[in-house]
Amino acid sequence: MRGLDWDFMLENLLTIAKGISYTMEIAVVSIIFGGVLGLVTALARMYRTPVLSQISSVYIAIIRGTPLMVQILVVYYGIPRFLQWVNAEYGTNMDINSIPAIYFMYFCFSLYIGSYLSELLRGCIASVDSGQLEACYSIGMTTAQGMTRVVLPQALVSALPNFGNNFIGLIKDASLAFTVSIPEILGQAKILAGRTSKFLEAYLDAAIIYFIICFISQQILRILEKKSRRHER
Amino acid sequence: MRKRIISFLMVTMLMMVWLTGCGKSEKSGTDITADVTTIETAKTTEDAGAAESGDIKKVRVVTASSYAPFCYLNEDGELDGYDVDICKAIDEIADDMEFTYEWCDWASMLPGLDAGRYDVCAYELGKNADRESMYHFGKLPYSNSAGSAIITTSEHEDWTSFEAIAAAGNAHIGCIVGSNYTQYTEEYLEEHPGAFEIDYYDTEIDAVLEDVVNGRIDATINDGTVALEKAKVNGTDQYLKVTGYVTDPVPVWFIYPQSDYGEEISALIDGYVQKLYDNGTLAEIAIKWLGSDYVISTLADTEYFD
Repeated sequence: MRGLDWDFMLENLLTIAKGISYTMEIAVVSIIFGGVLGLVTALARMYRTPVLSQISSVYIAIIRGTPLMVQILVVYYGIPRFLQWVNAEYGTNMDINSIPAIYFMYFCFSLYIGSYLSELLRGCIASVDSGQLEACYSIGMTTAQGMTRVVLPQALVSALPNFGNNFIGLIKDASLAFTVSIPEILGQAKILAGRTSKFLEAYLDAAIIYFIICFISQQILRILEKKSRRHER
Repeated sequence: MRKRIISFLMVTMLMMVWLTGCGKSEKSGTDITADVTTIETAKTTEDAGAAESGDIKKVRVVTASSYAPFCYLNEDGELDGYDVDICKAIDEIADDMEFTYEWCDWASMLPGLDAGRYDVCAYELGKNADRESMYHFGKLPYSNSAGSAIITTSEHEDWTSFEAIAAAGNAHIGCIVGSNYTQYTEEYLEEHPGAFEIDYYDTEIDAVLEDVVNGRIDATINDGTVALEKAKVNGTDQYLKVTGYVTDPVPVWFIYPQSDYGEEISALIDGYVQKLYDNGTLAEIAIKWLGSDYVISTLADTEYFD
């Protein structure tokens, strides 16, 4: 049984850490856009907005019913193929290949996390007592005002822990982005492993880095949570 | 409230004890099964030995499932291709060996040798210093790879060498992690920093070719035969061209784990490879799958064969 090459692991920790920026970019951008998307679709479904609520339901069903890996491959390879077809059919000249791959990932991961956040936010908004919105009406607020000033602030506070969970999950899910050649953390590890055949060392390095950034993210989220619950003390 | 917390904690602790307990029993469970299998294999080899004299060596071959024409799953879902056929030819003339075939992802192929899951890897692999330090190689290669071809679109027909690509400035070359072709490309880039950029892929070659056609990358370095075969299947062969070779043919080796068993079977397999080379079977298999015996006839120029 061969032992681990500790020197190699130490030397290459920084090589693999080069992937952190890609991983974090994907996670942060997606949680922001996914959050907005989730909120819009959650509200559309709660208020049964015609058309929009149906579209939201279909979107959530599709995204939650397919693996993220498949979504990535379909988006990355499917969209160019679709545009080629549109170009041929309608004589347009759209070129999507100049768009860097990372933007496809922002799109894909936002859609993905948006569907989960939508369900999450729906639950949290529903958990705010309906009497509160009625109280808003009684003092002459519109639904929009009641929502933004009273209901949403409470709902978001109760959604925050789960938001955090989803964010940590995204950091790890971003490891799938290497399938479409985004050299994120696991991607860097695979490149190194492919070059040197020291697979286990490279993967352990990646594990250490993932653990560190997830741990830091958790601490930050915990502080945020505490701050958001200050009024409850 | 306090009661609730205490009972919650107790339940959690119970769960943890249960889980760790499970883990343990599961582990010892596999250990037992592992023992049973070894005993069983020992038994079967013994039986066979009693029946035929000399024991039958079980050889678990691992390769990939989508690298036509070298190794791929055919319509019946069975492994087929050039490398697989060579193994089958060895199995046929070897009375003392019995081959079984498995496939897995490239990422878990060599780790699978480490883990003792497979006995030999047949995946068009070349030698390099790192691999030699970690795995066992026999004395004879079983094929030559035709050399790394530049595969690109008709736009870049003058890209016949790395120099030509470098002259174009800022070209993006797609490389699959862990392949020999990637290694040559990386080596060139190391000597000539900034000559071009490498975009890494963790996929099969199809996806890389798709991106060459799409224009996301400008070219890729790989086996020209495989690439054009894939392109034909995907209907993209009208766009892709092999414009040049960046290396000479490179010997292709079976890779064994560094173990007594690995060394034992490698010595046997070397003998059979020599036999198949001498009687022309290897050349036949090459013609069947690759259209010419170039990869075998060029072996004569190497130090390994006469």
